[in-house]
Amino acid sequence: MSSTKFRWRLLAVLAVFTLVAAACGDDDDAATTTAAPATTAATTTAAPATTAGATTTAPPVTQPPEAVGGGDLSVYIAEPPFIDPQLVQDSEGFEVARTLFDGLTLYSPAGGAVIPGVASDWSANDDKTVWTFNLRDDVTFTNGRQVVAEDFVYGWSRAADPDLASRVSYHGEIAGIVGWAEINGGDGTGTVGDELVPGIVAVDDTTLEVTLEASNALLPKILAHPVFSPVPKEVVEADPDAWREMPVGNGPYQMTREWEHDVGIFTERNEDYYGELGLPDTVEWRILSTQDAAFQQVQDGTLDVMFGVPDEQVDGARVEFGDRFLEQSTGSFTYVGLPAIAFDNVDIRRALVMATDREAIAERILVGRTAANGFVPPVANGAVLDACPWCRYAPEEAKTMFDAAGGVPGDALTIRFNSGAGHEEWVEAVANDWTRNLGITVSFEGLEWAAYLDFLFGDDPVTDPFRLGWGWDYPSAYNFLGPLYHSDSGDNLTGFSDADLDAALDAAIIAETEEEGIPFLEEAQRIAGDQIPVIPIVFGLARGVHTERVSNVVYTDFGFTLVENVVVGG
Amino acid sequence: MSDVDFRDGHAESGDRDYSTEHDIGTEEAYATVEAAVEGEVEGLERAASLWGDAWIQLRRRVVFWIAVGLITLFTVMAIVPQVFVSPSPATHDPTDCRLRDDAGEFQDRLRPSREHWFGTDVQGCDYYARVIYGARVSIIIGLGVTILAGILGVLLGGISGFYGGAVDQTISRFVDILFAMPFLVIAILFLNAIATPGSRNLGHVLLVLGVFGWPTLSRIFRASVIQARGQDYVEAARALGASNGRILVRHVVPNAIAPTIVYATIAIGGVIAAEATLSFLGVGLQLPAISWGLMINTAQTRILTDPHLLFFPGVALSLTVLGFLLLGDVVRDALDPRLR
Repeated sequence: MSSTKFRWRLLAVLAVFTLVAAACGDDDDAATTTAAPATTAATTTAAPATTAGATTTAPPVTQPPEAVGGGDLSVYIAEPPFIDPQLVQDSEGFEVARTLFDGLTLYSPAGGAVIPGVASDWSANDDKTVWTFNLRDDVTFTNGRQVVAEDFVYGWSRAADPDLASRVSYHGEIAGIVGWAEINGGDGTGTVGDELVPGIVAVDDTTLEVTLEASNALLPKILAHPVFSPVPKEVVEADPDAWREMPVGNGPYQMTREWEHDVGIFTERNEDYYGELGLPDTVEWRILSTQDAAFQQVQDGTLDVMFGVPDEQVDGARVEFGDRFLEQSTGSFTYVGLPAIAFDNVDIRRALVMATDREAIAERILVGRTAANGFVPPVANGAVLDACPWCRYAPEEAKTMFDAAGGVPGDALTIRFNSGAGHEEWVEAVANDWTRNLGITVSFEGLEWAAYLDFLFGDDPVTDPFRLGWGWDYPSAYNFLGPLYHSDSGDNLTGFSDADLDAALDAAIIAETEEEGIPFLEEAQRIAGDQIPVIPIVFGLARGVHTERVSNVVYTDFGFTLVENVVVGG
Repeated sequence: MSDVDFRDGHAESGDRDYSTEHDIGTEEAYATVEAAVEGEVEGLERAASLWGDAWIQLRRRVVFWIAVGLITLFTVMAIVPQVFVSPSPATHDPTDCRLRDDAGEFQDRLRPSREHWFGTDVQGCDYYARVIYGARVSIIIGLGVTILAGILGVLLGGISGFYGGAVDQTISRFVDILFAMPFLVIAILFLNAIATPGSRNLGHVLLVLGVFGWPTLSRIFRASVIQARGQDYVEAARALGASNGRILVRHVVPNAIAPTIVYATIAIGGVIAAEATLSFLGVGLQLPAISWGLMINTAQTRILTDPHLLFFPGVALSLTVLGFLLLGDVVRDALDPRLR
């Protein structure tokens, strides 16, 4: 071969290398604080207007007065495990189900409160154990039938039924609805929805009576969760499998065809909706496996809205998108769980948190965030911001404590997390910290969201540290404490059990008003701060971008996109 | 092309008359002829051989020495990375990654400096140390896969080509099937199947690349073998009584191996690039393994903000692949009789 050919060869190799290097793969990971099981349903009555440090930008929460409807909107989600409202357990399914179903109450877009939904008003007796809900008579399912009180009885009984095996049925127990816990803890009959929960009674078509075992001032807030949606029994029972792929609801949007797994969920405006009609004609929930892919599609203009901008893109995105780059503090919380079964010595847990340089991780890897030093995000009423005195970086102290407590078996740990959601790099940093500071070998492993949830909630108990996020179901500090740390909770994946914490939480929930419950919640946070069931990382900060084609994109501090108010075109 | 040199159509053997020294047809007779041809018998001039001439050619070419230099550099780097890292003022441990330095200042994504010759990466690791240690994976996989594929290819291709018939048909069809599969797709499939994401290691990647790399080598070798076995010297050896095995080993293989060696050398570069591609795609090695492909993966989203993250492993990878490509090229030139 001549020397000219060699030169060309050289150039070709370098060119190929440059091409390969420049190709933007969609393998990157961005921090999604919202790819979390937003599973607890709680009702919030008090608007958290004065919470310390809340940087909630006040969004225009209604449709702009001169807004013209129309257009097609596409929004990014990850593939959810379920969209059946009685099974929805994560943030992604939550986004979709919220537009398909309306319960008795709805989350207020302004945050912190609930507003009437199917129930036009409600009242309770003196000790708040018997609640009466008056339903509107103009609400219909999209198959044409009127929504009546019986539909709530059926839906809730379905949720409580052990035969459905819903991972979110425990909300009924938190609410304290009479008979719920007994049915849910029983053996089931083999048929779903045949055991009616005695605490829910349809007095007539438009009156629903809910009886609680103990007073609970938060009930209306709790009932906004999709698990308490009404569902049409005849449709569900006609074909339960088809129901999961295309549920029929009473919300502002309805599905146009079956759920295309890993592709999208396609919905259109429900013209018979009883409330304010949604602005976009259609909403496509585009399912993508990574935030990077979603971000690129918004950059290309083929996707309208995505939340969860990858960390390394944040600085560039701010410049590129300008005021189409949105940031919103949310009621969510990212943590590394320490299963009690493996980390039963509190000193080991304390050592692990002190060995982690969370501030550096939040500042550098998560790009300009602040580390969480408590367990409840500032947007929630009752949050104690510095509840965790052990949450400081003290590697020498950590090492001493760790060794004194006997270390971990095999001097090795594996941290697990959900892949494709921006956690790869900060989990790697945590692993580096523990390896360096504690002298152990730490590896990490990512699993896809649905597979990860199966892993966490499956039959085999989790024995390794795991990353998880928690998005609140109702704006109350209780929602960050009860489901995660109460020994009876189905979402308590660490298996943490502390009698004092349980007592404080139980006292909080039966308090007459939400305000009276706050001191107990503060106590609970201090116990958590002492016992370190999980390592707090950061509180929620949603970062999203949208194309020029759409406007009025609002992400609530609750953690969902107000798709019904988005203006397309114009 | 053969050790009895037919290059210019001339056979160069000695003048000696062997007919009376040993009985024709015995192994001894054969061995004597062979020895004579190879110049081991006293009095004969040493016959020129393909390999000898090739070497004379090669050592004259500048490109050959450049290629050898690059390969040696990276191979030594793979064997003793500590030697290369030791003069660096930064940490010598590529896994000693910290977001803050001792003074408490953030030290992730630093630009190249006197302290960190290649800067630092996202986790605060010294990038120079990581690039140096990354050579190990590339060289091991490059050489390991090629050796594995080479052994498989030569074995199966040789048997296939030499014996022919049903054996050849069977092996060839099998090779066809493997050829029909698109490499990347199948490699991804297999890597995901044989190892769950957390447990994938060098061995898995080596296995998959080796199993998909041998078909081409076997085809090339088979073609050479078929051509070689038809040559007169093979006939001659058979006439002298050599066994099949001896013919294969002493005559066919040395003469058929040249194209295979050329291809294998070039393929080493391709294998190294393939491992980097698989790791880049997330289906090859995974963190905390140190691989140039993985580094390029992490760097791809930060091309504009931190280009040094892409530049250094990219250049290292390119130079390594280039070294093997160049070597393969010059060796091929040296061995190709038609260019004379």
